[in-house]
Amino acid sequence: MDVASLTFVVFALAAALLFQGLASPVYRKLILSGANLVFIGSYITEPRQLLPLAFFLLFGYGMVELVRRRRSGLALAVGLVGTLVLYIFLKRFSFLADLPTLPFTYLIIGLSYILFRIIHLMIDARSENWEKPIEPWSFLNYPCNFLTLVSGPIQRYEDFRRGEQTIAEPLAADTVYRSFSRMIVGLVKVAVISATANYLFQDISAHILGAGDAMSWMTFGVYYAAAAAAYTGYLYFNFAGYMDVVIAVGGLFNQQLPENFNRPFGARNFLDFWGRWHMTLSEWFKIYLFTPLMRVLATRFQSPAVLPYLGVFAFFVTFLVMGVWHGTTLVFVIYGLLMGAGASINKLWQVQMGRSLGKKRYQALGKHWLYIYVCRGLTFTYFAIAVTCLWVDMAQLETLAARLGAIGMLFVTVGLTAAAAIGAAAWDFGAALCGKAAAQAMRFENVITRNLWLASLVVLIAAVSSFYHKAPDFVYRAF
Amino acid sequence: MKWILKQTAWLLASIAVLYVVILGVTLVIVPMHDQKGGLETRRAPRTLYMTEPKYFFLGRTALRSEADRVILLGASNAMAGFRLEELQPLLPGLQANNLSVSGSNVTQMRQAYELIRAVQSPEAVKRSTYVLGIWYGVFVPDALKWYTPDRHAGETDLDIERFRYGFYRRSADGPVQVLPTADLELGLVLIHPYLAIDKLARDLTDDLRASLLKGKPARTEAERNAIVITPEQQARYLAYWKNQFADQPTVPQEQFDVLTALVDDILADGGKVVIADLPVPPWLARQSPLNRSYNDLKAQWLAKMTDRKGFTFVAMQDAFGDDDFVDEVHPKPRVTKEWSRLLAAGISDETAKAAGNNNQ
Repeated sequence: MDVASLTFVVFALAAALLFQGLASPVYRKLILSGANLVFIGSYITEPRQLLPLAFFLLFGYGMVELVRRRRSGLALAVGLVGTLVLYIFLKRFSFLADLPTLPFTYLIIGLSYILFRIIHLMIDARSENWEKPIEPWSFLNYPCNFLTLVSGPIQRYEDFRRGEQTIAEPLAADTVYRSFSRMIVGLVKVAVISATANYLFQDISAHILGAGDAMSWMTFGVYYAAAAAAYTGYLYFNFAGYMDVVIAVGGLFNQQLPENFNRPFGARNFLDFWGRWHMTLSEWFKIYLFTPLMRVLATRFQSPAVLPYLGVFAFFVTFLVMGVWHGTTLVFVIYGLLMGAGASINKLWQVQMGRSLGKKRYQALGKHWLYIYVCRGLTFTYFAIAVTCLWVDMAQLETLAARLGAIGMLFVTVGLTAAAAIGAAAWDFGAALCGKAAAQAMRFENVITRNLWLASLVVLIAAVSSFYHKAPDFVYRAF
Repeated sequence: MKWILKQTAWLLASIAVLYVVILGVTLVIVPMHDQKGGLETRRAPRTLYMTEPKYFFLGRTALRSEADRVILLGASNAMAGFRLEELQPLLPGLQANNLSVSGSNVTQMRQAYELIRAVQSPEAVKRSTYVLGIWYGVFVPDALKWYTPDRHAGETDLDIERFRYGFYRRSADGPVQVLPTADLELGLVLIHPYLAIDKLARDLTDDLRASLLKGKPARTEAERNAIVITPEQQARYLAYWKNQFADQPTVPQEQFDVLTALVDDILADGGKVVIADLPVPPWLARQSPLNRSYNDLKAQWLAKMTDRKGFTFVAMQDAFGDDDFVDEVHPKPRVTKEWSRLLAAGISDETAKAAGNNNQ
């Protein structure tokens, strides 16, 4: 069941009506479990396709319980290694193609996100000395939540538990309107904006992935830059719209799911960008990889002069792993290396600039409007070039790199940075104007006008969907 | 629960009100499609429907009335070669319709027939002569033709139109009709805002899209008549079709089987079939192993089909020279009259034969 579909909207509303129609917390939990089952069931054609996922969950529960009881480093290591090995086996990484596989196709949707949650539970069970075991019912509902199963947001278990405690609270009229409104805005992002960006991307990329030989390198570079920018727009609106839908539906089930995006293209550097893009994933990696790694490095290398460079290294490792996690083929290793390079070079720049300019002058530079827009443009450009790995295979990547060469890449980087910087400035100007107009329009807001506004968005979604005839896939489902 | 129900009711009511207003406005600004005379998919870009598959799918209601008709089905060469203004005068007493859709293979031609049959009464089907324009390009197997990233797996261009406005829905067993065929005209009214917005959007962005995505403007008829195909272009066309058949040198049997089923369907429904073996340039016939393979399969196929009552074959493949084509398959405008004349002669033979049979 595609989250950005009419089927899902009807399903979610029906489930929410049932949920809110029953006051008892137990019944409400049952409705949620039922919704999770129906949602997962919509991806399979026969029950045995669920068996590996069920086994992974059972194994995960066992490992969490083992770590909680033993509370030893060894138990944690066994749990982490065992879970990771099982995950890698089930995920069928291409570089392990020679390993035996199960003799039937099975469901792996959401496996990565279940892994994140199980690792989080194991580590917290040990570090926070949990006294009681997790109730199996809660354990199942936590990673299998139909709203967050496929691609997050990665809700922390404490937050999930808090939600369970407020499950019986009544729903307010304003919450319902805000949920409907956000869901429709999310669908506009997916079905209108990301679909349009995808349409452009498909057309433009066909020129460079097909018969690009006949073009001059400059034309090729312009096409490549346009394709990379269009894909980045597609990726953002597709994922952010999806998040809007699930967070909005969560509101109808008394769930406060964490935000996953905070205007990422307003970021002034690559590290700032990752604090705004897929925030729950970045946070997860910060807590469970970057911080422990820094702790280990800092104990081993205690010289104050080395400390900033440990951060550079830790950022490289963290972003490398985060990048590699996105896929199972070699091109995703390249993606991970680009992510790691981006983060570590960014950190190195901060360290070096602070040293050579001095803290005050570096801070002053950071507030200059030209520097800000150039940095925003460069951040967008670096990300857009790095995510090329998500739309080409290794052979196509090699062809692209060979066709562009070093001068071509420089041309693309400078051109796209300039275009993105100008775009960012125009966006800020437009947003300020729209903000004023929206404030004026608020004076006329009432139940009729705000529902007519939502209705106009629904009509827009229907019109654009009929225009493109095939809704773009949810990109992050593949990761 | 009551807030969810209340909000849903408000939203649905708002959508209904807004939709009625938009429908009224678009009906005033962009009038509904008014079909006069025979249907011709070549005219699609100048109509509200804009694309050939949409023109076919939504415009076919014009075939409801009972009349003696000729309905052409095929791909872009059949569309370009048989212009209604040239064909119609050669077929007195018959209403000519050219519903060929670019890029069709025989599977899509069969779907076209099924969609037409769905709007026609049994009597109207019996009074129709179906001309099926074939050449080796319409024998590309479904697996190579309709499995592209821009569509749901296996869906033809006509399938896309079935699902576009929800007239059909997808199911594991294929398309399921949602809007009864009898209500197609009502459906056309209801989707009018979408057709109008689509048309306005396309008209407004035509130049932009052409400059961004396509490049060259359409050629004039005089320019098309003056085209000379170079050996390099010939090689490119040959390579293109080789690629279409996944680099196989032979035409697979699959689409001939579909053609047999299509012919049998039409004949079983009481209609008549004319197979037009469409012209190709002699250089293509000489150089293409696919054309040779097609001719072999066609000969075997014809041997099985010719005794069927109501079936006629019109051989046109070798009727034109290299200089009569703008590319590997489409005729120059100056020869399309001759295409129509050859076809009309074949159709007249068929109708004369049928009349003779009826008199016996």
